[in-house]
Amino acid sequence: MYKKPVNRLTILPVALLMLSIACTKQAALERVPDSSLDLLNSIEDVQALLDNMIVMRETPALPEISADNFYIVDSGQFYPVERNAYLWQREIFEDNAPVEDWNQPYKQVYYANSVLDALPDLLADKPQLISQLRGAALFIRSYAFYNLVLQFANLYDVTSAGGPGIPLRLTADPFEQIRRATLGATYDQITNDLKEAAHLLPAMPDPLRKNRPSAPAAYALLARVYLSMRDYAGALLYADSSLSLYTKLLDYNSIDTSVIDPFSRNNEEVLYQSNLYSGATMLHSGNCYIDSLLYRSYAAADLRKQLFFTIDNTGHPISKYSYSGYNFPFSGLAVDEVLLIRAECKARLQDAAGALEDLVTLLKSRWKNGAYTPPPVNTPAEVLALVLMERRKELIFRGLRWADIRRLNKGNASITLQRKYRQQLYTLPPNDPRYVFPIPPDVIAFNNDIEQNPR
Amino acid sequence: MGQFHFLAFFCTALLLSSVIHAQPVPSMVEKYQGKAAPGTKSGKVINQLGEPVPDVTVANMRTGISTYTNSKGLFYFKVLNQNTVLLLYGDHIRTDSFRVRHVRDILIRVEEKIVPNVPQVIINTGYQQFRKNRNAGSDFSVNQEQFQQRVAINAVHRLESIVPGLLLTPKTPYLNQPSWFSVGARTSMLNPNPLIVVDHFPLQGNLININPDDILDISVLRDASALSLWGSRAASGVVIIKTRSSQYIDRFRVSFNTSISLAARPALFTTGRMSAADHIIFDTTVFRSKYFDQLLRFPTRPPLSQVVEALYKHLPDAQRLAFLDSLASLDNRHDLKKYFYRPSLRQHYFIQMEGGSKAYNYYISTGYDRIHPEWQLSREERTTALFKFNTKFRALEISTSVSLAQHLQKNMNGVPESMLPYQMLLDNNNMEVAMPYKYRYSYIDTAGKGRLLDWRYYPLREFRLRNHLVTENDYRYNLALKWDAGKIVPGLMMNAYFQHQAARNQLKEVQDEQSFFTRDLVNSYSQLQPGTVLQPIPEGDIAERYKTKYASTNMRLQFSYSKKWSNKLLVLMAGKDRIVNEEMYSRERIYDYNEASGKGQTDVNDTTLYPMYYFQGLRLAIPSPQLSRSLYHTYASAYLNAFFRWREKYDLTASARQERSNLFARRINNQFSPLMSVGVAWQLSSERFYHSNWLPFVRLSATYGSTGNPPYDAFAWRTISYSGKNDNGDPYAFLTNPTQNTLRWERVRNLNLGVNLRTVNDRVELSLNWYRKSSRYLVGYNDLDPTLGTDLTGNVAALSSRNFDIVIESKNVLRQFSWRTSFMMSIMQEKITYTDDTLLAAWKYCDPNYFTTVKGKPLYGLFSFPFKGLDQHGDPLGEKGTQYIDMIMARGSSSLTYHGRATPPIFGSITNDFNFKQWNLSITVSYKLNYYFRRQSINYYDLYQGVPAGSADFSRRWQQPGDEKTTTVPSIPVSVEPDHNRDIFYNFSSVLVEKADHLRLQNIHLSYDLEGRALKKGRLRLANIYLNCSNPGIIWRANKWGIDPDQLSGYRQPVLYTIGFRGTFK
Repeated sequence: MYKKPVNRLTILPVALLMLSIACTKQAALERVPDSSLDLLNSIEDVQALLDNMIVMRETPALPEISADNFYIVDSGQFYPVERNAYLWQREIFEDNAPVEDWNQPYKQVYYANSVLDALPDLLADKPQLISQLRGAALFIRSYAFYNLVLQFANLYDVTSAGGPGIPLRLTADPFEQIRRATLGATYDQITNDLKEAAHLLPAMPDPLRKNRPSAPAAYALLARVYLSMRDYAGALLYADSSLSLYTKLLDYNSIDTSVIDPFSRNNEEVLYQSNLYSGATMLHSGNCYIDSLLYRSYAAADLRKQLFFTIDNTGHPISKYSYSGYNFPFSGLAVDEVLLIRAECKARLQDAAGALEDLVTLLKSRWKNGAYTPPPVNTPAEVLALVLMERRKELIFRGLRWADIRRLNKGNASITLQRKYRQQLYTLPPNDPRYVFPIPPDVIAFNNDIEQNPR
Repeated sequence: MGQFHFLAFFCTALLLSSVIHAQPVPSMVEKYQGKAAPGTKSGKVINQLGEPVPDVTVANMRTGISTYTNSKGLFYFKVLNQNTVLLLYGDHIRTDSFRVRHVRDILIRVEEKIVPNVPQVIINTGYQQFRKNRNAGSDFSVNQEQFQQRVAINAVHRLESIVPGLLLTPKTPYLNQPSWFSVGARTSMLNPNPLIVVDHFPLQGNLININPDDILDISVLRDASALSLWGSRAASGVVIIKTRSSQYIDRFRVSFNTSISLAARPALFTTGRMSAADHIIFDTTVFRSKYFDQLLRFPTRPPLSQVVEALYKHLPDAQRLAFLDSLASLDNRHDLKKYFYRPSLRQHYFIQMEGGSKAYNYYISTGYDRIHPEWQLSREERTTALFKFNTKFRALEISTSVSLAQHLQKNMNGVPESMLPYQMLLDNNNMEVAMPYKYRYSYIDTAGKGRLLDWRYYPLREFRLRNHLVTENDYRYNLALKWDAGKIVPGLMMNAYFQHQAARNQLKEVQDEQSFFTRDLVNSYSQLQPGTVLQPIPEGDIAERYKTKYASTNMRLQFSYSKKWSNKLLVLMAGKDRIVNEEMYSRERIYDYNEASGKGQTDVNDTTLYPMYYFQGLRLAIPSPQLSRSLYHTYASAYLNAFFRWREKYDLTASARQERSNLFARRINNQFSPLMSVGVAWQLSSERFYHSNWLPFVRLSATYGSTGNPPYDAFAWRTISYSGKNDNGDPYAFLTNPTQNTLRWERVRNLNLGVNLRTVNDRVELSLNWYRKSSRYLVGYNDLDPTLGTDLTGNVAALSSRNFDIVIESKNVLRQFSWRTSFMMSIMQEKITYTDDTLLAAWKYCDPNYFTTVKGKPLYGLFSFPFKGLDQHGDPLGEKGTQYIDMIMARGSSSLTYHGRATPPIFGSITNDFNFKQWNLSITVSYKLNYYFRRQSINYYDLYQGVPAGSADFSRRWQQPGDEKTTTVPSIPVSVEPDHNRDIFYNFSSVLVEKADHLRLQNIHLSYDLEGRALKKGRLRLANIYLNCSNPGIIWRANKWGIDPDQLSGYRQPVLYTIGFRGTFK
């Protein structure tokens, strides 16, 4: 046998293969296995989480369902939870559906906490942007906590501060132990975080992105929180801070009254965009009828009568699309609410003239040009009554009425709610324990030491 | 990876060109090359054509000692006396006996069968090949004969009742791929499938792209040492598939296999569905409760059935009754049978060519399968091709292969929307009949005043306009180098393997312009303007394309060293493995699609919101689901394996493997901890003290080792997933996973004990294997407290399983008439030993859509609500009467009845093979015992929601007081608000749980080998005609309802009859 050159050639591929196998790059072994996953390690990633409007824009609907702005005639098409909340039942979470009024805000809290966890690890080359993102996360968490505490705990005052508040989840750890903080601690957390957020956030809202928080929005939320705490000096201070930064109102005279969706979602009056839970079908435009007395209280020259409502084919007044731009109601922050808070606080703090001035500013933009003249009121008490009535009419379907009823009943308003449904009369007396919703049963089941609300 | 790929191609091309120049002249005479020790007696086994036959078992009838022929057809005996009778058998030859006349030149001529012509006694670990029972562990080599006696086009389906412990679940009638199959007890919750290895490397594509006719042998590895060697993905077993290739012998062969299978039209009348008359009774009853009144007020105008519409019309009673009676007499199954279904037909063609010489060999095959399933206008096709070339230059062997496959599935996605039984397809004038769908007729008849497109749904048109095509192209390229470095270091071998696999899968669904989907979409977005209709969505076909691309690059470098002393053998093996798997998905929708050019409008405006025509309050953007995603998994591993044999009696194996992967993030614990195993085997019968005439072979073995599963669906780090643009046009993302610093990969510990016994002449061969597997850190989904704001897929449970397999192969009669039996039984028992279960609502333990874990119970346990009969209103009663909500929402499973397992703990098969002259008959019966299933019954809530298919149980429902004594089917709930919980309770109640035990005639195969003149005429060397009958039916079942527990819904699958012909040309 003679020797062939082939033999030497065969060594070549073998050697190459050996080489290729030996060179295993460490980088490949650390690559994220799925391109649809990112590690939340850039400013863009954090911003994209905060821009998730599907998660962030939803706020609880139960308070609006339980309040007195509307009525329904047939509950057949609604979820049992909605029907039970509407009729102020003792048990409301009877079916196996998840309780979005609890779950959704806590999902927002989890997103905010994940952002707060991730921020310190980001490159510090844009410190201002990072501090704005921190402000946004604190705002979102406080907004969620506040929406939760209004549903699942007593209203804050000095005597109830030691009572149970809500679980204050401050980390993104999936194994965190959950327990209820005191009401005082809950409100402290909310107000302190919001004050920090207001310093970090941009001074003006982004006119095209009302889903992103701003300093005037943080101050407006602080004003809303202090108002519900009946700390009128605090509410006045922060309403004033908000209005000193941003005070644009829509002129309703320039808005088309003939369409079902007269308002765009980024209109200039909006400070922060959110809506009542979009899955709560009872609140969708057309599914419920506006309280007839309330509807009749809008004057003919009041443009809100045509912009907020329309008449359906059965002759009942129903709501149009609100500042949310959709058929579910707006629940965010807007300049009109801040003006009304400032007016109310001024009136309560005996500044009748100042209160009236704010009210007239608002209403002139709501009525037909030149049609509005303020009624002859002088005393702070008279102005307050007027402000409260306009508050109800301006902020209808924003989920604010329930907290207002509770707050006013703590004074001497004694508002008793009544509903007639299928030949049966339902009543909710002032300060009834049913003003606090029960903690969802699955939360209790997961945590034996979570205290249930009496109802 | 691109450059490696190119390199490999380049090298092969180089080598192939050199081979052609250096091809030696094949020697015409095989020399006896006495590798055996001096003094041994040798013989040669040849076939009809004088060619050597390898892998024939040659048994000395006097001593009971047996041996095998090697690739040259040679066998050796230490002692062989004159007049000894040798028994020759093997799966590829006809069993024969031979009396030794002269001890010198033993030349035995046997009759080689054409299928299978493969050695079935080889156990292939994928790294090494062992003769059966020569490695320490327990493993199973698939009986090729039985495998080839099946007709399924997917190899997995052929393995059912051939491999002990193999279960296919569940059987989806029209898919050729089971959703999962398991070998032995489950060790993982999310990842039950065994690792499938094809020619050295894990298969990345779809197994259907490998033609079963190309498969040489299949080994199923389950013992601890084999699994540890295959690493982190092997915890659920390894199926090693080796494709055919030729041998280094001088031959040229052309063989073929062709068959035609037929099955009758499906027996539609075997479905237990609710009759037209019963649907009318239901609608009439519910109508009285005013339930439908509220549907009339729904702004989206939901449709009402023909019956309800008739009831709302103010017709005279006689006229209405006459109309309802006419509906009651209808049964659309006659129409369905005629226009939807047909008898099914399958064709299979396969041809292979192989040849070679001492220096090289090649194998070329191509196969084509065409299936016309039971639906009209549907078809499935598979084309495969395999090219192999192996060559040797002195110490170097080079093997290359290219495999190509194309698989087409046209309209295999089932039939359109289900219909009410009185919904006919064509009327008396042969015009298409419409059915109420999505909107009420009273609305669509007037909507748009004739300016919109027809808004009705025609079931027959929908069926005929189906245009759904799945195309899969699969490609594999393999290069293996084997270098015998024995000249440098005696006993040293080096192997290098390279493989590139790529598969492209495209699903294209075209919604015709005339289909309801397109017309509905166009109408919904239309806006009527004076003089014109604005159509934001163009009239025209709409195509949706999903593309998936897999690519996998594998490399392995392996050194092995063997040394033999007088009575010791040592084999050491060490290697490095590298795998890179990539998957890419994309999805796009094309409006106004032109099938001829494949083009249309892809860039639609997806930000403008349009009011929906049918409900102006709803505003939507034009749907434009575009998506792309890619996955990247890479593994780098190193392994070591040692095998030591002493005195041909004691075997010891040990292996270790270390694996790194990007699936185990840096944060995952014990990423680097190696998987180790040890095994021992003892051939007791070789001991001097052992004397047994009837049981000459006894072997005991034990292995212990650890393996694992990477946590595929769980991630240790915080991840987000981008999801498009929000309302303000900014990208937004979801949090998909929280940071979990404690995540580990699933760890499985295996212990396996085995006993192997053979009686004289291997007449009865018995193997018993016992496996204990304990899995820890099982990855599963965990419901967390919603307050935490996130779900978690993490380590949630631990599982322990026992599995006992018995395989008995017996040659009952071995004469001119032979009868062989193979019996298999698997007994499995697994239970959850630890769980993080947070006590879910009771109904979730009953609902198979939830993966629940209950301590002390198997992975798939069957729970139900205790059923206490019906009350005097026909309402089902439970522990708490009719407090359904309390019962279904109770926490945990303690209030439920546990019946047993939902998967069989005992199952197996018995195959009997009868052989007389050229006739061969094989009958397989399979059995599954001691498990339970839930019978489907009436669900009133679904009926209320307009789901058409009700259960025939409706006719046995409670109708009047007193019925509760004779029936268990609840009454129609008459209410404005149907109680979903009542149906949940009843459908998950104990009264519907049945024993699933059954005995099934799985397969009958009759074949006839042609002989003499017939062969000569066809210029054939070997030929065989066969008849096959697949799944003839259930012989015995424990349930009295006639239900097939393997197929709980739909019509009974028709029996498939096959006639085939295979042969080898001269």
